[in-house]
Amino acid sequence: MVKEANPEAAVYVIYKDIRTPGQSEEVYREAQRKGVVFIRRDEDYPKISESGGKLAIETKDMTLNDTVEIDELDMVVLATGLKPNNPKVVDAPLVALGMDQEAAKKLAAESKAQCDSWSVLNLQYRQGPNLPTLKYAYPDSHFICFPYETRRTGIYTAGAVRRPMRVSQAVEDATGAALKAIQAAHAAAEGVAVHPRSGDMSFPEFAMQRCTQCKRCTEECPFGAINEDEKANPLPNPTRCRRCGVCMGACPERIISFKNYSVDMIGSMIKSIDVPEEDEEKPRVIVLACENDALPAIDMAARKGHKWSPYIRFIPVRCLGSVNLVWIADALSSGIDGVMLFGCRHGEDYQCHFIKGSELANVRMSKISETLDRLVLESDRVRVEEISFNEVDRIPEIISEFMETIEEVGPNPYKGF
Amino acid sequence: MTYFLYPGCSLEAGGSHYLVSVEAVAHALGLTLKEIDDWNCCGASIHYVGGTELQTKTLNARNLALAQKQGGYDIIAPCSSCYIQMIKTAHEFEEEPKLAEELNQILAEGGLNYTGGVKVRHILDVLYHDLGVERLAAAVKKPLTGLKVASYYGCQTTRPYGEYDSVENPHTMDEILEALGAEVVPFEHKAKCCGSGIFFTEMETCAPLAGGILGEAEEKGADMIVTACPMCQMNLEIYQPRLNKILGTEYDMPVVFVTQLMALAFGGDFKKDAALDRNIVSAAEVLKNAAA
Amino acid sequence: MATKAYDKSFREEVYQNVDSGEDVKLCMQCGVCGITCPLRGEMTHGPRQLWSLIRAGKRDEVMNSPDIMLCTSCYSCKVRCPRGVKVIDVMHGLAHYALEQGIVPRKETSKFGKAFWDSIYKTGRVDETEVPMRYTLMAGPIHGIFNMLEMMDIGRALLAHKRMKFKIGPGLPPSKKIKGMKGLKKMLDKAKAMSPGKEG
Repeated sequence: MVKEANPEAAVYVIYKDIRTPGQSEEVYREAQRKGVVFIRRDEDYPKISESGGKLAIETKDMTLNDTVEIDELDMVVLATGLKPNNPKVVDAPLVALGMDQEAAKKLAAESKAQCDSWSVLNLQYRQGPNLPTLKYAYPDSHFICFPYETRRTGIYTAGAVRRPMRVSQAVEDATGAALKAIQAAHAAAEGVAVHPRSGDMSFPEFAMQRCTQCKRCTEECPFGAINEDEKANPLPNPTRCRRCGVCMGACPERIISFKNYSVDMIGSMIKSIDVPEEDEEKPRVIVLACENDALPAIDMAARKGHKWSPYIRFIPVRCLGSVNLVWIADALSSGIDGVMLFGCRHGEDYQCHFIKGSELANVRMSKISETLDRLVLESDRVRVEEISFNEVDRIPEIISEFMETIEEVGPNPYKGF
Repeated sequence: MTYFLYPGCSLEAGGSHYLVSVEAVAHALGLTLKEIDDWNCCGASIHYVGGTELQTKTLNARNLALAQKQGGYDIIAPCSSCYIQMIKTAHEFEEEPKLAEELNQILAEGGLNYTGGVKVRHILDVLYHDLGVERLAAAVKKPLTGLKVASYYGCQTTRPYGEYDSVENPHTMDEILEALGAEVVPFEHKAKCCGSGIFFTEMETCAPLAGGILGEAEEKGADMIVTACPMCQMNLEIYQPRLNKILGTEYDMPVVFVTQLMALAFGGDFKKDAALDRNIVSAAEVLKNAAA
Repeated sequence: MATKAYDKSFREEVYQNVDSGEDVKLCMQCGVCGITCPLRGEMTHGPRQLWSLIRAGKRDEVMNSPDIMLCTSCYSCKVRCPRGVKVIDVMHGLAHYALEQGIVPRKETSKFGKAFWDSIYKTGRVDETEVPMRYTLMAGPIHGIFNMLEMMDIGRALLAHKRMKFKIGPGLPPSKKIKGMKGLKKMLDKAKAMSPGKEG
């Protein structure tokens, strides 16, 4: 632009990297044709100084391999990068994994306070007024499958809010987000869930008379769907709910259930499994598999003709986050020798379709290992495995390895009780 | 089929054996070659020392204008440097109207004019594309069986336009030589520079380049290097004793023009048609051994 | 300690006065030319760095660089340059421009090139006997004779193999001129007047 207005002007671009997405290589070429000079620097930022009303820049020049000074400049334009202004909001229960409680709580409170003070959205969520963020402080979503989604149902992010992008891409992005929003509006009108359990008509129901106000469900719900009153009683918001069942898995009193999915339902399934007698020397292992990646993977493995131990029984669950610890207890007290939980990957590059379910399952299982040891039950009997849909061929290996471990630790001492 | 022949200054002197063999080959294949009347030098590779770009283009535009005036046939330039200079001017004339206008203003000073359209061809181009390898094979009376050759194109035979063959990995001459019955050894240096126009004045600097070419040819068991460029032929051949002194080697490798081999294979005379007596590092021995 | 650089006067000078000098604007410093050049081991800078120096206003380094006359015109760089920079033409242009300023990048090539061009300018052809003779004598009469004697073996071989015309000395006999020499001279003069550069 400067060159077009004044072809005689000396224009320089000092850069560390040049990226020309889309057709912008032509912009680069055109700039060079007009005589713009590009200078490559290294990691160090150039120094800008002023003298007699003119500016000067001192920078390392990689192509000349020298530090050069360009003076007599009328204007210096800084190219700023895009950065979301959400500082990282930390989930308290998960920071507790490895961090001591007090430090975790303090950090969480600080981070929350930081962005609460200037929240743009001002959401009335118990978990905070902003969208939860993950890597690089961008709003958390299942990036691969559901890019526009956030952990707040009905709110869809588009454009540079969710990742760096150019205006032309943002326009396209907004179209996608708008379409998702229309879907959400339809779903709300019909009273059904949005993805991943699109069309689900069930709701979590709370038997409040047994609630002990422990706040696990309100804190752990990945979507903040449960508010709480001043007495810490949970106040569910059905339109925010994704029907994952994480609350059901969290509740130690087991007061939460869905009409078609409850603690009792799976518990009964477990208790009705036939467990061979100890002298038959046939172990019994159950696999709780999440419906998103793990169960389809097992299905695919079977179709491919993979073979594994006949002593396994598979029980599908909505999400590993919905696994209530009582099921583990039920399984082990029935004489079942081992319990495996197959679910989606958790962590920074997570795959869990309910965002936090798999991670919570992992945390909960690590907590019960102490209990198991006290009951003279080896903690090896319970294992959480991450299975993704492209790891179908690993399944037989994982199972056989677990069966070996079970053989090592021997049969469940509570068989036949 | 009629073509213009543009010998260039080289073929009249240092590359005279190229000229003799080109004419013999044309005769054997039934091509009519007319020399452009009153052609001038093309500028070759070191034109830039004394002349500007426009002056060099002038030299070539004059030849193109003469060719147009005298019949407009395709011009065969056996010398790679002449080929490149003329084809560059011809192409840029077609692609840049402003240049075409300037050149015609200049040509007017000498009473000439050029409207474009004359095609400039390398001898390999004509042999491979206009005649075809089959026709060449059919004309062979004394196949060069048992002769191992390194097919050396050098730089300016195919670059920069790659009109008739690859700029990085050419094959036309390889196939022509195979049609003559010779065995072409794998030769990575086939299109690598020998030093070209500055070889003579920068011999110490360019020696490793020529050394690499001669060295690989020897390593791969070639009896001779076959080339289509008089500059390369000169650099690699007549300075071999000098190169040996600089590099500490003992090369004794004949460097022969592709048309010389063709003339021989078509049944021509060693001296009169193939002008092989004009090669300083004689190829007589290897040719005798191969034919036996 | 930073050195002052990027004054635009030199690069403007190159863009306006050097044949194909404007191509330098488009270089994106990828380095393919430098790594492809067969004489890269001998060069001080190489084409890529030369363009960078031009843009940075480093007149002395560029004009005095021997590299601009070490180009063999092999065209390997030009066919590979992703930006289509006419590398050969710029190198040649810089060499010509340097000579016009009285700077001699490589002595021997400059002398030979001058003898070469003189032959074209006077006769329309390059006489392959005359030009080497004149070139060797350019070193002065004493050195010239020594040089000639050194090249004797090659000259003799060429003569014996009918690849050189016999001459007693330069101009003896004089080289033949083309018929249209007068016209060619006028053309060359006009072309020179229309070329970029100090005398253009």
